[in-house]
Amino acid sequence: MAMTRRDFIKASAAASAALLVGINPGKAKTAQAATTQDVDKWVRGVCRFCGVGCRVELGLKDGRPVALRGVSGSKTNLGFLCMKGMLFHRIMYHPDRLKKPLYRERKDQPFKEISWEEALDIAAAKFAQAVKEHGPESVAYYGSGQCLTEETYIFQKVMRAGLRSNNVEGNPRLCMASAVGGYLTSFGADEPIGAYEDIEKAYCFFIIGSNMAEAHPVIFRRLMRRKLDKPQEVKVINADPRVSPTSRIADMHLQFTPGTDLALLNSMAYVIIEEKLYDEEFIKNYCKFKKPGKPVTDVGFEDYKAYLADYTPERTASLCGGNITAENIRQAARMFATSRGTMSFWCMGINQRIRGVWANNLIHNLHMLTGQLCKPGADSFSLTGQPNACGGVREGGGLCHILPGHRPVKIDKLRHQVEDLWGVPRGRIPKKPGYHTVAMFSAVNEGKIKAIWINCTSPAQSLPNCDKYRKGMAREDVFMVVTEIFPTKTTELANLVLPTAFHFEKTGVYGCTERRSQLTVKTVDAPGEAKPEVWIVREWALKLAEKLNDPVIKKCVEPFVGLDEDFDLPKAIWDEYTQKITAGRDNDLRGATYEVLMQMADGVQWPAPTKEHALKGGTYKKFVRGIDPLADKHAKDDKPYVFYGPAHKDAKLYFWLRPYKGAAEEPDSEYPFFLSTGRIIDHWHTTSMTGRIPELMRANPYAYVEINPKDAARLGIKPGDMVEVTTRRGKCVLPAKIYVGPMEGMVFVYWHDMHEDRMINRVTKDAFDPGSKEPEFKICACRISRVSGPKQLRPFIVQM
Amino acid sequence: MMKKLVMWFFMFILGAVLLAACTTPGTKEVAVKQKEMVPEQKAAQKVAMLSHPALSEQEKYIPCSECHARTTPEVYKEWADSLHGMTNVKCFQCHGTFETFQASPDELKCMACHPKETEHKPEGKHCVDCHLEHRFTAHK
Repeated sequence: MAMTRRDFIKASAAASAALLVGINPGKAKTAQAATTQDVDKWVRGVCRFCGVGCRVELGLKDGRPVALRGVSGSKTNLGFLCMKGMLFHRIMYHPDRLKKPLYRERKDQPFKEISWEEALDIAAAKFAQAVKEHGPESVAYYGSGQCLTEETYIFQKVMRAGLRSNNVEGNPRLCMASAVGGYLTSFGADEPIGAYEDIEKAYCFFIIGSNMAEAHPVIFRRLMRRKLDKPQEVKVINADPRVSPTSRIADMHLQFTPGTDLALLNSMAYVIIEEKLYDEEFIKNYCKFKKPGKPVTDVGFEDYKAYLADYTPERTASLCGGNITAENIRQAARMFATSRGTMSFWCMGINQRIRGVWANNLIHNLHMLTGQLCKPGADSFSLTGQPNACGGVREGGGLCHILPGHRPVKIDKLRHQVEDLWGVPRGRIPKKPGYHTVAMFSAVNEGKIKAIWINCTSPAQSLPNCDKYRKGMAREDVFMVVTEIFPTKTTELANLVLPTAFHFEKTGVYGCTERRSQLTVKTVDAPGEAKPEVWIVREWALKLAEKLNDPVIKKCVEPFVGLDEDFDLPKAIWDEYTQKITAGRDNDLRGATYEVLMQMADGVQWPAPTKEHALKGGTYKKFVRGIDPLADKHAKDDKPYVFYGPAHKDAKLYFWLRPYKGAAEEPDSEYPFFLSTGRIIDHWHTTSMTGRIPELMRANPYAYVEINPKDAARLGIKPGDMVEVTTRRGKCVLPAKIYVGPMEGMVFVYWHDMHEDRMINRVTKDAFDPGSKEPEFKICACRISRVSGPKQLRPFIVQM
Repeated sequence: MMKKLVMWFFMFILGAVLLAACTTPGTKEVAVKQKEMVPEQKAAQKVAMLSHPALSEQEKYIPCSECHARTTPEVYKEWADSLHGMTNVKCFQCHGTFETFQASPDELKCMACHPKETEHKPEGKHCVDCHLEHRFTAHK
């Protein structure tokens, strides 16, 4: 019955003709096609995937998840979902779900199923042994921006105050650390000032280093809607070395040589000053100019102007290459400065760089220079990759240098505050920050870390230059616990794999990109013996206290002993975190109790110091008097904005004089191409979840290397040919996609694929920003060569 | 009007012939999925899938839009220029994959992003009865 392709084309042509005259062959008599009767209950929650924080409803039939939908009028997504958001219920009963604790003494042995009692006993014994024999610095926790806030908070509490180790890290180091560094050094406070609702008030969007159409599709939809509603008034500038689906709504695409964006940003500032488009009043009222160095020195506007003299549009255009001209730098600067409200959006293209913090500073400089902050439709807005990188890790103390409530661990006063609030002796938490991510896995390589707990993330695939670090994780003298829902490249290297509950199988809060905390309550039971992490940590800590004979460890979890793991336990942890730890901090969440969050379907934006304020939704815009209660509290004069951020005692915003600096590894004669990595809409991170949803895997079954047609023609590479991508770290072999996306001299590969041949982080570079310690995934040097014609490939997912 | 009637007749005959010949390899999986469908959907699915050339496993990894840009360029263009196309709402989100294909998406698919609209539609109507396929911008 199969038709030939020729037949198909003919049939398709007929079908098209039918459609044109209003007849749809597949739609005959579909009036009764509704299948909503398949759902008997809809339950509220938030999406499990990216940092947008889409409000969702999970559809249940007889208690089993069968569908997901948005909710019209939601504050974040306005009811829309992307394909990942509408399909994630499909993995909840996937046969690959981990259902029992698995253990092997040696990593070359097969796993065997064990009981939770045995598993927790082993985990406690191994960590206790490491602490006894090698000290607190020999143990580590590596978490995730996908963990609930309650989970990150309790893990880091046990690690820091219980085991006396600041080796608390998480994968947000790989994606958002440069944004944190940028916000803290420019504005004195982490996280965006504004919110998504600024999008509908903005007149200019400056999107740089972000393919938001694929990485944050629902937010991109809001931008697109705004552009379509006011096509002449609203301008969109997309600056990226690669043309992407995001470019589709752009009035101007600035395509620059990878790494030269720092010069581009300085040049836009040059034009704004040269053409006197800056906001003198805003600068005078709220800003200072800082020249980096030891010590940092205060300078003035004229020094800043003189500093920018090197960045004339003409010189910068020549440096940037691509399609950049002096005139389009001028045009972009004018659009940015003169619009009634300009929002910048960026993500990994800016953050995953050895000068990621500087690049963040330079974007903020443009907003300060033009006064495009705090007013409606204006903001310098960093997009976030994970659902709880902001709420859980940045706010909850999930990185080696910060305690919960935005407190740097090295500041005695703030550290002692936390020790007092936890009721543990002063001095219990070490002053010295722990290992940052690359340093942590280097320490694993060197055998300095003897026991590591990896939670809800897969560093064996997601670290740059991952082969180097997989060697360390494979060491027999490194005990590795992994808490997961599915087998991953990292569970392959573990001694102990603990099955955890998934979203909607446990209760907790996610805090998305716009400072919004949303509660998802347990709705369905986890499969098999999978458990919520908060239960796992509590029980593990109690065993640790016994094995180390240390009552302070027990003290860390004492308030939570005996509480029901499905609701009361996470609630008690949230209460401790919000009522004690965030009190008086810039992310004050005291008003956002579980009771309030249950009432507030769209959650609450901090600061929300009181229930009354939280019940109004919290704070849409920080630092603005009349909107932000903390701005009113800290006000000392009549000015409308109060920049009370904890990192700038003078309550000023800082311009930073940051020069252009290129990548850690630029192309040369041996490795003549730039290699950049990124994301695709159908997949998320390491595909351990999206790869198990057939529709998503089918849509993008394997990674390919995008090559500019001119480069492909020069090298004799045709679409689908197998191409070797070689860097100084190794090589991958992938099919070619010939596409006017990456600029000439640059290739691009998605990083999701788990297959050893196509796992691009095997060849990326692990150089990192000296400030934020975030690695430069976005740029390294490579060479490419055709190895064969097209080959049949199959998608690949790790099985246990 | 006559032209439309002729086309309807042609499609009816085509559908009947294809339904009668429903014995090709690979249809087993489709049959399982059809348990959840109403009879009209089953018929529509069979018509649509059996008029599609057989695809190898490898070909099933090619996005629908890649072939349809060439084979049904009018449909492709409608989608590509629509809000769905601009925001990367892909074929499979409404129509499923080769195995789960639905020519006319069931309401749950629309509801994922348009929950309110699916509730206020007229009794007995399906979304695509009123909204233009692949354009969605206006009522028919």
